[in-house]
Amino acid sequence: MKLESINVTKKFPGKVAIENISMTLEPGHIYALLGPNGSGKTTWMKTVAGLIKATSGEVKFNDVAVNTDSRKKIAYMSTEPYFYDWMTVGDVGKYYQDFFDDFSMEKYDELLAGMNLDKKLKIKTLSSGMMAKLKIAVTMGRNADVYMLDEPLNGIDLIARDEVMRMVLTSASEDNIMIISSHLVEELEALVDRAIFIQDGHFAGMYDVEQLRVMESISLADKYREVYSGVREA
Amino acid sequence: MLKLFKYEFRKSLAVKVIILCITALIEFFFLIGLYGENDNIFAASAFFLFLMAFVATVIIGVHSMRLLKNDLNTKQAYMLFMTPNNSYKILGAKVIENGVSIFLAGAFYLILATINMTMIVGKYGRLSDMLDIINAIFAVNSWEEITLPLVASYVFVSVSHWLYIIAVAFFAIVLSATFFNGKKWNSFASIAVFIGIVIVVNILLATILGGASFSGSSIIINSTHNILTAVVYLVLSAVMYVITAWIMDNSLSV
Repeated sequence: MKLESINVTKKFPGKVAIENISMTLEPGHIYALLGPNGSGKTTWMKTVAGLIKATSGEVKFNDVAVNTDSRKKIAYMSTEPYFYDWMTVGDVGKYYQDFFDDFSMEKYDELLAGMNLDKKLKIKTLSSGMMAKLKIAVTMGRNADVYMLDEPLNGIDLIARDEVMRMVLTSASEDNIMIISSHLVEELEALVDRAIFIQDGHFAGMYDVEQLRVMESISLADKYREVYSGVREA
Repeated sequence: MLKLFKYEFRKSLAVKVIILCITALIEFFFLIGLYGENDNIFAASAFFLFLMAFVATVIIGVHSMRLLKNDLNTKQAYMLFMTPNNSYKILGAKVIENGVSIFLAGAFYLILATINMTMIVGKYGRLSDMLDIINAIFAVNSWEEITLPLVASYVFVSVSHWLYIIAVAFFAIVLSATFFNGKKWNSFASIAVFIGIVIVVNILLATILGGASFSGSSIIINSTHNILTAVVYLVLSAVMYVITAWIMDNSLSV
């Protein structure tokens, strides 16, 4: 299994969101997708999820251009809330069960219990923190080949963050690819083993986090500072 | 597609419940007017029940357009486009749900009208009295003109015309969401495209079919013409559906 981004470019009127992003992602790794606001991380993820059509280039999953079928294997969690207002937490699970063969209601129930989320809660009554927990629970309730979590740590408290980290680690395996975008580089460092840097819509490098520590004696956070501000910590 | 259909129906449930509640309220006044022998209440509620049958159809159609607009222009789009369903299925579920809802609404009001007429006959005893009342309400001049094939052809052309209107509206909404997304005049663009297509097609149909095309506001006393027009609208609806789904599949970003 592999996920390839081949010269992917997305242009919006008056703006190039991402340009010529090429990289190959392999199973058995948790990737951090890093970059400042507006660098193109979300656009790239949405292109992989098939929500955005690339202007040029293509994303291939297992050597086939991403299409409707690849959505069966690729789980994407948007940073924004996207559930229907009339739903309850339980309805969200049923919706995923209806459309995704890899969704496990048992796993979803376990994840909700870990997050202290009641299935009877209405979506429109959820706080932003509860919504963030729900998004991650329903996404990780799937047994997908590729997970893409866009800013999963945003808007949740420290305890919930620990729970999210635990969920990610539990779901990560040698058979899947996990991609997590976040501004909280320090917190991601304990979780990921590879880091992808995106800068102004361009691919700015992919690094093995352990190698950075061992070979370059630099943390992921320091590498982030080096890439985006040009400053290397002494 | 059945699952998509189920959720499309659920999305529009609130509006349908409101329509049903309003209809129930009017029916309540109708019964008060009928059995309380209050002619004013009876006539007014009968008129509003008749009006409601049309208003409900329009509301269901307009609401489905609003739902599509939301599904394309808000983050709720992910709920549809993250699922392993192509645009043909997604759009098809919307069109079918709308068609079924309109059909069910029509059937519901037809049954309600039959029940009410039966009650009127039961109350006044003679069918001619009831027809006089309907005459007074709807100003029908000659019942001899109204034949079963004509009524059937009128229903056929009404449904196909409405389906065509929905298909054009869906096309206009998808077109503006695809090419004018984020623009302030997005909504105006879709309205302009919608009106433009409807006007152009109406002119073309009037020319090709050799008479006035169906406007939905008048009964054309010609069954053959009605059926021919209905078939043309069904073909146009299918063409609009295929073009719209193709645009969604190939160019739409949400």
